[in-house]
Amino acid sequence: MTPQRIAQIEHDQGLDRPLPQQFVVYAENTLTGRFGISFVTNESVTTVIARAIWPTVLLVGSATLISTFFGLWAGIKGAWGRGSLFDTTSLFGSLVLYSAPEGWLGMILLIIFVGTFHWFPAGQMSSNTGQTGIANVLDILSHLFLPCMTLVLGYIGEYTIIMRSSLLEVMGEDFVMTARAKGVPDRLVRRSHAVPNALLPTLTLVFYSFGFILGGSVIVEAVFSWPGLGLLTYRAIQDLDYNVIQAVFLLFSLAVIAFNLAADITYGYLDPRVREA
Amino acid sequence: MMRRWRPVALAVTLVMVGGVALSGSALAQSSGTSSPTGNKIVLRVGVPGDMISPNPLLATNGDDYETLFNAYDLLFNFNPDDLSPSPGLATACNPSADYRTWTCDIRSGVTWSDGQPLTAEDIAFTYRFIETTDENEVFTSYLPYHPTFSVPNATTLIWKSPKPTFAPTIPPWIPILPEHIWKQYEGDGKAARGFANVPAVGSGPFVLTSWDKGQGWTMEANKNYWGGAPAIDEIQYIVYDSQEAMVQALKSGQVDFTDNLNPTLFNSLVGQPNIGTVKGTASTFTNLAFNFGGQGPDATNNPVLKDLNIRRAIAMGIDKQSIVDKVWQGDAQVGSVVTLPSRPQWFYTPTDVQSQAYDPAAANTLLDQSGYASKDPSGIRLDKNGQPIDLNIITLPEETGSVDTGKLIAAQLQQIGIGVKLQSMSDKQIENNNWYTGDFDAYVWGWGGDPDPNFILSIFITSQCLGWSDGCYSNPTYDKMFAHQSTLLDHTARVAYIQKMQQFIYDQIPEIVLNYPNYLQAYRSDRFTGWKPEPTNGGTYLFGWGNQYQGLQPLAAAESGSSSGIPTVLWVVLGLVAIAVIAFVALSRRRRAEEEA
Repeated sequence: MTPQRIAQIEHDQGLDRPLPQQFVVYAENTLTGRFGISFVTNESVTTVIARAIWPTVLLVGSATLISTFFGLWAGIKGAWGRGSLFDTTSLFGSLVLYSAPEGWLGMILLIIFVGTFHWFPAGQMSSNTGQTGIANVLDILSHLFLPCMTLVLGYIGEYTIIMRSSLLEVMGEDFVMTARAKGVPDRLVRRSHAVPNALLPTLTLVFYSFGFILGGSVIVEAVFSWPGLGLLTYRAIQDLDYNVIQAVFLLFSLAVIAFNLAADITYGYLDPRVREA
Repeated sequence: MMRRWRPVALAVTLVMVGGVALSGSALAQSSGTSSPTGNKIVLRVGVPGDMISPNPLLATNGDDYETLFNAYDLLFNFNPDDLSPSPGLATACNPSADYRTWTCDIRSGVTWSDGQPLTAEDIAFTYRFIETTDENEVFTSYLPYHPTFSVPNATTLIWKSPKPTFAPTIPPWIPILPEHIWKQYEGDGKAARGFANVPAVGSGPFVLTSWDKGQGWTMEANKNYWGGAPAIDEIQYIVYDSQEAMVQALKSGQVDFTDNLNPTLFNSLVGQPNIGTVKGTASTFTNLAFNFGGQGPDATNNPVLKDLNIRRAIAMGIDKQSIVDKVWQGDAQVGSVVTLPSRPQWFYTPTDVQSQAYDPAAANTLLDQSGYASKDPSGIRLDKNGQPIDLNIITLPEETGSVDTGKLIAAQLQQIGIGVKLQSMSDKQIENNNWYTGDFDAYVWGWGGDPDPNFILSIFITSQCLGWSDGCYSNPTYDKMFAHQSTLLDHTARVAYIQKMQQFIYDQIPEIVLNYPNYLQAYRSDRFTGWKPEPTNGGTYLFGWGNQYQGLQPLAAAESGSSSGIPTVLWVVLGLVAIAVIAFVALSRRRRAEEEA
């Protein structure tokens, strides 16, 4: 490479300007949504990110929904029947899954469902066979299954444990005892008095997870080559694709802030004490 | 209170459904012109990384080159047996008596994939285009002395060189581009590099039709290929960021071939039913390349490395066999010279290979005798200025084996009193920063190289500093030798002289060739037959040097297009689970409504 070519690249990237000026240009570009060009693909960073957003929303979104549903259910059932076989089993399982690294879980699922049973695709988001309509949706679903299952297993333990402990705390409160003393049926005590109050900490966690939707799960997306923001981040870091890295981290931070704000606002709706305070 | 969740749940569900729909349509758009598989014979190749670009001016990695090999022709192809030049677009090139003018006979009746005729004009255009437009100098070294090209008729190309040359027969690894597509970018490097080139118009056996970035790319057979229509209809390259996933895909029949496996996963596949394994012996070598400075004022190279005795002691202090055993689990050969054992016509065994054999005691003696006997309290030798000899060695995490090799070398050099500080960084970081400024003492990396040794020998000449040189090695004697070899038009004389050059490099140690790692691949033996290694002796089945897809014939499984997938029973079970969950929710809501009433 000639010195002229190197100088030209430095000029194109603005690296020949003084640092304070580079910063002002960066701030201006960021505020106006211009994140530059990906060094690797030569496309605009906005295009690269736009392509990766929906796969991540689909994967992490569906995993969060499924794990929230089953996690809350198991947490409530476990806490209400504290010490039962279901409770001890689900608590043990939750702790194991909560501690398991997601990348490792993904590998195990790969070995079982791909290597042994040959049921699901080992990676990607589609078979690239040009299917359309229902066949395409089923194709995407079959590709979605394993990465989604990995994330569900990774998240579900956390939801179960938080829901369980938060419900146990509420179960000792006076208003629960009052409700019982009034002769309210057990199931109604649980559903209308205990669970809504115990949901608040879990809600924080759910919103926290949604904040990370855009970040996706870097490891799981890398294991299954799922073309979302997590994989984009993983590759950008490997290739030192600075423009992409800067933009995705900015996006992740914005997503976390936005969902935390949403959690705070929703709190007000769900808990009159917060609203009045 | 729970009711307030409904709008939220509804919105989230809509987002999910939208996700499937949008992702689906995005994929449909990006997968371009592909059509339903039907009875197409599709070869699916799992690769551990994506292409960087199918634009020849940006092509960098093995996947790019494999795609270019399939999509375009060269002036000459490589003989599959020994990688010597064999007829390609040119059937023959004959030199004038002074070797300054070469007249090449170009094949007639060849067409581009868009139906336009391919003539000698396209070849002349391509070479001129490289001269004027290849600013990154990817291909310029194949056109030495700035030759000129003329085309007296559609089937004749005249290559005129100001100096005698054998460059047309090396042969030039430059994909021949269609003038009617690339003409508009001639002389404008930036615009030319910005050209996506998908779908690509080429003349090779396959046509690049779509590239779904990060996921893979598709090539369809060029049924009008001058060498005969390939038996397979389509090649799908599928990217797996995790090698474990790629291997599981091979086991379940989702891919027919996997490229570039690491030894652990490769060994797990040996002996598996319906799976064949290929161990290509050495298409690359790994090296410890020293930095001699010369990059500029910011170079931080340790001057002791200019002392040949230090370099020789380091060579004797490194146990190459232990690297083969521990890092490559035996899947490599101990290295010596910069040509490859898989190219026997050029490979050379140094006469004094014992002089650099692993011998820490002899290395210590050599260092003691060379004026490096004093040591600091931690046992590190002091240089002639009293400074401890601490080498800053860079390793590359994405290069298989580099980091582990660096650790072993650090431990081994400790035994001869040379300290090592290891630093790990990506190849792009090295190229953009440390290599460019000379901020390193050595790195553990490697080289591939063309079948002809001209290129690999060129990296040691002085003028390649900040070109292809590793660490700006400079030796006027070697520069003269390199210039001389390119004038040797007699093949036997050139082979003999190149052996002399290899011996020179081996003795002068600008870098230590650590080993020749095997190239590991695996394939489904129940889907295609006709796999052929190139070169015949120790080559790989794909990603070699020629059109290795041409000979592949489908077996029954590939013809029927059958593949593993979710059994109907499982779909039914998943459907039932979904119905059960919906029913559970609906029932509990009804029960609650009753209770509240």
